[in-house]
Amino acid sequence: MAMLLRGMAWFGLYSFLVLLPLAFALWVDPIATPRGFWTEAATGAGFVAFTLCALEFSLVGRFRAAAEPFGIDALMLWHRWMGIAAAFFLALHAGFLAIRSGATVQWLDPFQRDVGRATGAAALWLAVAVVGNSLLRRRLRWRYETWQLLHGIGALGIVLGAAVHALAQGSYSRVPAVRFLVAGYAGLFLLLFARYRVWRPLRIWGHPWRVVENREVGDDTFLLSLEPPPGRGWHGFEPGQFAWLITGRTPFSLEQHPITLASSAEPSSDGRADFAIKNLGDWSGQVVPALRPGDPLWVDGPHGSFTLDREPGQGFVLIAGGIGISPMCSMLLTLRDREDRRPVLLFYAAADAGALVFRDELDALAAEMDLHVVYVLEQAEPGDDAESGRVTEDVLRRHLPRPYRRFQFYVCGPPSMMDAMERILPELGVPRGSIHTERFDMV
Amino acid sequence: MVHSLLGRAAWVFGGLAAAATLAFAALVDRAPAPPQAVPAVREVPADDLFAQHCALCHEAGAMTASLRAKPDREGTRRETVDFLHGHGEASDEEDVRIVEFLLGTQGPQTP
Repeated sequence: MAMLLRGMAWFGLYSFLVLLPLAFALWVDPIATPRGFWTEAATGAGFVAFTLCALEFSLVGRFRAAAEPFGIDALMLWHRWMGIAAAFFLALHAGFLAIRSGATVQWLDPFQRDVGRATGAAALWLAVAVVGNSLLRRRLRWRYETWQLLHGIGALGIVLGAAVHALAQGSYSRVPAVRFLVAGYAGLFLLLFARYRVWRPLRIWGHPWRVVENREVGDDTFLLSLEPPPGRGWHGFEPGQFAWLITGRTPFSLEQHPITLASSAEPSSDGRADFAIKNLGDWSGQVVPALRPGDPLWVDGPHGSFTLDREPGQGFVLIAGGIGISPMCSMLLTLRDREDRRPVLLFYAAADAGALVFRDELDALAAEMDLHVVYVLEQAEPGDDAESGRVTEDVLRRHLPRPYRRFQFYVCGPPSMMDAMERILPELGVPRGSIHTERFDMV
Repeated sequence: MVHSLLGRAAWVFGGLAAAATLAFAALVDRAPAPPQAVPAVREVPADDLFAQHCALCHEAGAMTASLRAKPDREGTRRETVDFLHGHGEASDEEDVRIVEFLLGTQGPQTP
């Protein structure tokens, strides 16, 4: 309940900040004579677009307090949606002005001499480019790091361009308080940007973690064990959480990837943390396999609300696909270490038996705790002791224990599986509040 | 589970923001007041008239510099007013005020 209220409070603050300049402009209203509905609608759309852009960093700036009620992946998804909305409102801004005054191609020229209009045109084009390359990154085959760099530069250009445009061109900006407000939003954006890109790396620069072990555990997946810097270990984390692993020469590196912890959340004497990383062809295929014991890297975490510590349940159903087994391993190891006696049912889906990782460990855990594992293989062979095909409603019905509606459900896997589970589980009568998912494939 | 709801929530939020935008436009673009309350054109600041009718496409500083650079001030005034009669949506009286504003014959000297 407290988390729900916190979530509502954060969302209320976000909505307030999005609409504040619009309300303030309405209140000061410095235009003595009516300018026409479409001109004012253009102004309103411009204000909304600007505030949406300026607040985008607050969503992905890794603020624990704001992320806790929603989950960082949910905030990233919201960031994605609001980025599209901002580009739409920017287009509305230009479109409404065109309705009012007749469109001229010159407006869209970012190199025109008038600074106010040039910055507005530049912000519009940048918004189209940033949203476009985010939606099409995979199709364009851009490296994640390249995309991230251009995304950040583009975002900076959009907010600064829109701010200069509003200050130089906007009729409402003749009022000093409106100028102050516009500058304040741009300043807030820069502050969040600096916190994310400068202050945070500086804070961890002198405290790298060290690779203790890096071994392949099957299916092109590496289990990376890291040791914290002396006196800087975590006091604990929640099973299912993740951290950003930062490789490169400094923590300013663009090689930052969110990786779920696979080890037990119960404190260990050496403070080690394990991460299971599947080779997906980019950083995970080029950098991770080359890491050797003693190599330094930086860890920003733990983060995330995909954890079984926050919801009471009579038991747990874990549904994993591919490398989505990683958080489930952390949950199972933690339950074992805590001597938790509640029943756990794990559905683990993979292409074939060779694609299963941690199978020996899972079978060993099943002997130590109340765990039943159901392997679901797309290409099951006789003797695999597995369901054939995918995790479907029939497969779930065959294995779910009778009181499953009082269990907590955790789902992590490929998008198609997540979509299917979000549809099927409610149809099986599982309360929506008992279904927990985590996704990190936004771009 | 929150993910499947987020897309719908984003559409609702975007729709509400669009509604707020249109409400803003409707409220700020007040309908003209009764005749007795309408300020005479002379009472409206000339820079407001410029902002209302011209600023979307023209920059005041550049216009001023261009017009004031011409030697024949009266001739320029007449030509520009004539040109404005067929250009834009301002009334004839407003056209005159805007031109005087740009030429610096009234109002602020450096708009």
